[in-house]
Amino acid sequence: MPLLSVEHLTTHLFTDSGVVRAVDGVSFSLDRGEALGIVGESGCGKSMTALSLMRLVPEPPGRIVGGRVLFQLTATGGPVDLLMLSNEQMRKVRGKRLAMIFQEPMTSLNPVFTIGDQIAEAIKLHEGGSRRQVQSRVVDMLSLVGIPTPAQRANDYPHQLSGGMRQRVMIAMALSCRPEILLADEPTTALDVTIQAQILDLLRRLQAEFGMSLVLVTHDLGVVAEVAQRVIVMYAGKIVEQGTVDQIFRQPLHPYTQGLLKAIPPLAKLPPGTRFATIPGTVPDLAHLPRGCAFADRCPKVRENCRENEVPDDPCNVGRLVRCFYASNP
Amino acid sequence: MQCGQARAVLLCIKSVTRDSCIVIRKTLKYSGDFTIHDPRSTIYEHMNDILVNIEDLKKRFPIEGGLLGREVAAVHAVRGVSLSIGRGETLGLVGESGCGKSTLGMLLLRLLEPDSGSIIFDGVDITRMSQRELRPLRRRMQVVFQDPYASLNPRMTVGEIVAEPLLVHRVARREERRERVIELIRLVGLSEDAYGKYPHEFSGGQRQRIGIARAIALTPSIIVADEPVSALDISIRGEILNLLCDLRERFSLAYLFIAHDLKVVEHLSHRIAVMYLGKIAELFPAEGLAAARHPYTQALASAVPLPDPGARRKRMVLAGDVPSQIVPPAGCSFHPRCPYAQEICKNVEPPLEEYQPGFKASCHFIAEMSERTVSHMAPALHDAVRV
Repeated sequence: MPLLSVEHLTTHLFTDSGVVRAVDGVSFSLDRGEALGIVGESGCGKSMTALSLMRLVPEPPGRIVGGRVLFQLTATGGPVDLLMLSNEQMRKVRGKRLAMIFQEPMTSLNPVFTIGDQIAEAIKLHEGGSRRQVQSRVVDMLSLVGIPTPAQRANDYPHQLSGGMRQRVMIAMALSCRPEILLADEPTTALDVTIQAQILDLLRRLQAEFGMSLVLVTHDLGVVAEVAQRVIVMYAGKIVEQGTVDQIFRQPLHPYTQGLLKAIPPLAKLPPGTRFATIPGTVPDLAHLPRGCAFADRCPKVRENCRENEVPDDPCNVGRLVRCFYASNP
Repeated sequence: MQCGQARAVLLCIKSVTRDSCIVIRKTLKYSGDFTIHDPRSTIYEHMNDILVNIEDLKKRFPIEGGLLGREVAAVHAVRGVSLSIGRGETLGLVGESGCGKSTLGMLLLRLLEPDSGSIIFDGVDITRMSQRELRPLRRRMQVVFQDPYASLNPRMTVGEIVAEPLLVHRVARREERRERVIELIRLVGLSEDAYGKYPHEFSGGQRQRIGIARAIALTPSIIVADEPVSALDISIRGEILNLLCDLRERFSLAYLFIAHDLKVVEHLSHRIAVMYLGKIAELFPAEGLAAARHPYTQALASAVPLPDPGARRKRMVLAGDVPSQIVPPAGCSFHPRCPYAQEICKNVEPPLEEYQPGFKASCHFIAEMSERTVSHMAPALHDAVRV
């Protein structure tokens, strides 16, 4: 039984220009200890999906309007729908069983408290314990995420740390109560490549050490290839392709996935005169989505029926979710 | 463009000396078969057609503190950089945030005042020129910024934004100006009706096109492109890079292409300069990335995550952060993070020296560095689309 199964999750943003279908009937599952990557370009709904799982969708304008998020809270009992919990009950799950780290480590830390205090807050809230116990836990967490001289660093304020160090603090905070699932929303996007490599190594190590499940939301296919075992590709609020990391990178079947992979410059000098591959056009307005496939306007394989009919999960019977009538190898 | 032959000829020659480069270049130029895509970009350095030459450029930003606002320390952003950019050449400048690459770009354009050193632009020393004297030269140097949202005035229409440089430099009369602006808008791949619209009506990629139209309005000789695609989605990046390439060919533009992404820089550039803590760590032809030996270059290259799940490789993960620019480490500034650092690295600063034709590095042990860590980079996963 999967640890988490998301069924037809639907989150809308009610804006002045109309209803934005940010997450439009997303279903997936996550096993214990699994690393799942959610990729897509800005505005595809990947971050909104993560926020919906945490029930942190900014409201208004957002609201989760449908679906279920079934979480195996106890080993024996049946799964619990997180969307049905009261705010009080959800607060006990959030941070304790299900934790999240964000893209911008500066804005997600409170500048007027020391990092030690901020990590201690989560531990005190969920687990209690004496001041000394909490303090030693804080220092343990800081050393776990590779912060040198953790006992002294615990007294630092966020502005005294570099971007990479701040992201380590965020990870320490998220992991302080040993959650079963860690949601990481673009955890390395604001960091330099050398620091990104350190943070990805850290996430991988901690995931293995804790047997934790990881949901990694990112726009960087390279990051996904390095960390995830299974991948979800999102476009305009919907999952367009789902598969193992090998399937997505070696046999991508959806034209959008294929386009994304082509658009990454390979690490080898291209012959002169080579053009960079692109996906023509732009992401459609989520408040006024076209009928049929949202990718139709940018798709090289588009045909008449793509613009008319809603595309089901797997119309070509390839055995996994590939939302395309003409799924095929490139 | 016919460049295959020239490339082939040059690649055949195993050990290219400076002189033979020049000879080859002259021959090719004569036969009309020469394009800027030659594999031995060293040529630019030894030819007379250097467009910009900067020598030992330094810039520090004082930090003031205390009651009297005295200078208590300084951020050493650029600590003695010498570089040259040839006409029509694209020099890629890479490094981590805070290494001084953007500052260097701003210094080159004299948008910041250097503390010392010199900037020669097309044979003219512009280091100490007054803003007034500089004005005619400004037409020939332009800039494209990273953030297409912050770099366009939201209260001006696209037409006004693109016309601004023409207006400032009094280039065209009103009627001509409109025509010129529409031509520019078309040239960067936008439709004519963009003229009367405002920036907020456009996507990030389209806004970057507007910024590029403004930059090429005066047909400059050099554009400093400061992370022009970093803020864009992957599917849009290629379009902007292709546009930059097209414009380069059309106007024989030189670019100082500043980026943190080695992959992007590699494809667009003729030569690449890797910067670390305000200095050039290594300088090499873009074709030679795999052969670049400086440990920092190798670390940067190996840190790029590859879109290939099979390639979960042993990479060279640098320990620690970029050190403080306020008190840069003594000796080689890379030594605290360098896996090969020796005693000498802590005390003696290595000079930037040529270690093979076209490759310069500042490392005491460059001769002993092999291509060990970069060997995994060889096979490209995806074949690039050839148009």
